[in-house]
This record gives sequence, C-alpha cells and structure tokens, in this order.
Amino acid sequence: MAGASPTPSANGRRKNLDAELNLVPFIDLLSMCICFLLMTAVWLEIGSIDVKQYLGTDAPTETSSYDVELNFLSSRRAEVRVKTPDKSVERQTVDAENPALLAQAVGGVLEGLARRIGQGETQVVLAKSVSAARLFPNGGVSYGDLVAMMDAFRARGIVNIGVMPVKE
Amino acid sequence: MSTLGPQVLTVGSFQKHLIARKQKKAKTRRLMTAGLTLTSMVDMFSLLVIFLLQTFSTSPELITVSKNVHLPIAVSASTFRDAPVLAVTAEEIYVDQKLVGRTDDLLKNPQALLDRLTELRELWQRAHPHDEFGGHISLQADKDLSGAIVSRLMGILPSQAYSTVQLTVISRGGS
Repeated sequence: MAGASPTPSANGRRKNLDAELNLVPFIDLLSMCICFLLMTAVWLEIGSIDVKQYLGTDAPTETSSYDVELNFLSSRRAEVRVKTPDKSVERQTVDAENPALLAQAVGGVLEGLARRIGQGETQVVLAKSVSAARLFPNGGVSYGDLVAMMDAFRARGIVNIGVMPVKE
Repeated sequence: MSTLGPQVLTVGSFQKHLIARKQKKAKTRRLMTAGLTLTSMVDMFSLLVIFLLQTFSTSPELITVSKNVHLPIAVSASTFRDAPVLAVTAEEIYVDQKLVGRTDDLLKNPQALLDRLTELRELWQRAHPHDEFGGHISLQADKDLSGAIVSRLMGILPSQAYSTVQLTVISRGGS
C-alpha cells in the first residue's frame, strides 16, 4: 500500500507529498460528452397547430353550442361574429395598433364571451361551449398574423379551428 | 643565484571547483518544453457540457425546415407529429423536400400538387393496407407570406383526403 510519510531521502531533502492529478482522461471524457451533446442538442423547439379543414356538411353541427367566426378586415382590424345557440349573431369589430395587439384584443373578446356563457375558467368554458372557430384571412393579413390569432384562440380553449380559403 | 628545485604544478581547489561547474553545465540539458495550464480549458469544457445538457432532447423526430422559410412563433403549440411536409415560400412549393412548382402557377393550376399528394397518399395506403388513412399533413410557410395564399392551399388539401393540417411553428413555452 502506498503511503506518504516524511521519511528522509538519501540526499537529505524532504519528499514532495503533493500528488499530481492526470487531467488528460478527464479532458477526453468532456470532449466526448460535448461531441455527443452537440449532435443531440435542440436549438429550435418546433411545435404544431392543428387545423381541421371542414367542407360543407363535414363541419360540426352542434346546435347547442356557439360558433365563432373571425374576419380579418386588415392586419389591425378584425370582425368577430359569434353565433349563439338561439341562432342570433353577435358582431364586434376589434381595432388594435398592431397585429400582436389585435390577437390580444380578440382574446379579450373571447374572454368576455366566456364570462357571459358561464362561470369558470375561460379555457374550460369555451372548450365546452364553442364547437368550432373559422378564420377568414382577408385584408392582406400575413400568415404569421394568422397563426398569432389561432394561437390566441387555442390559448383560450378553442382548438377546433378552420381556415377558410379567400381570394387575395 | 639560487635555483629552485624541480616544481610540480598541481591543480588547486578553486580550479577544481571551476572545472566541476563547467562539466555540470555541459551535462545539464535545457528543457525546451513549456508547461500548459489546463485549468481554464477544463472550466470551459465543464460549462459547455452543462449548457448542452440543458438543450439535450430525446425526441426522435428530425424536422428539416426548408430554406427561406421563417416559421411563425406560437405559445400554445402541440407536439409535432411525423407527417408529409408541404413547404410554401413566396416563389416555390415543396412536398417532402422535392420541388413541385412555382407558387403562382400552382395556385392557378394545382394539378401537379394534387398528383404529388395523391402519390404520397397511395404510397402510405400501400404501406399500411389495414389502417385508415389519417389525412395528416404538415404545412411550413414563411411568416411573411400572405395568409390568403396559405388559406387557398389549405382549401386544396381536403380534396386529397388531407383534412388535418398541422401548421409548423416555433414553440415558445408550448403545451
């Protein structure tokens, strides 16, 4: 067994007790870890927003639920139409300074709708009550703004979203 | 005149010391190597490993985002599922990384796109004869592209039984 005791050496000098640490295997291990992790690192988290494209009678025809339509009038203005179970239609025009704020403003309209429908969390109320939402990307709105609006709908519990084809 | 007897010249102690020193210098080799401090490199490696461990992912999907396509950002995005990829730019349309045609031309006459989608569907049905075709397709489009173009393309897809379109987005704190 190796020991370290201050025995006098032949030439009268003290033996050095410090042990040298070999860092070479440690550096090799770190290099291999870095190479492996660089290959498996995820730099961009990719997700998806599901859109159900309904055609004609394929659309859900729940009569006891609400239907929401959003028509983009421009990138900063939109009209929200809510079809209630008693066949009435509520319309509201929403204006905002920029497309991001428009999505927030429409989200506020949806939250107001949830409060009118019933008590509870917005997501739960709208998920139960709203059967489908349809977006009409008129007004020269960009795809990014359309996705932001869909994101606002999904964040408030409306997941059955369709995008209607429009002419440019 | 007195004469000195024969004289024997001997080397004195000081001369001996000088000779010994000269020999010692000749024997001692000068080290040509310099010591390398590895501490800072080990610190850097450790930090790199810790940072890369945070971005580590075991997800098996390898998603290739097409060139010139800047995906929009979404907060409430779902997990991406494997599906054929329809990539749309302002100039061209690709299906599974293969060029189908120019966007303007395909919007006027989408036959080439329909044929390609039919081909993919038939390939899937041949590979899964006992399963029902799910109709999933991924759409990658640039965020600055007109929403009307994307909506028209999405309107074409259900005619080839692709009823569920998953819009590819960059997830920020998704579900």
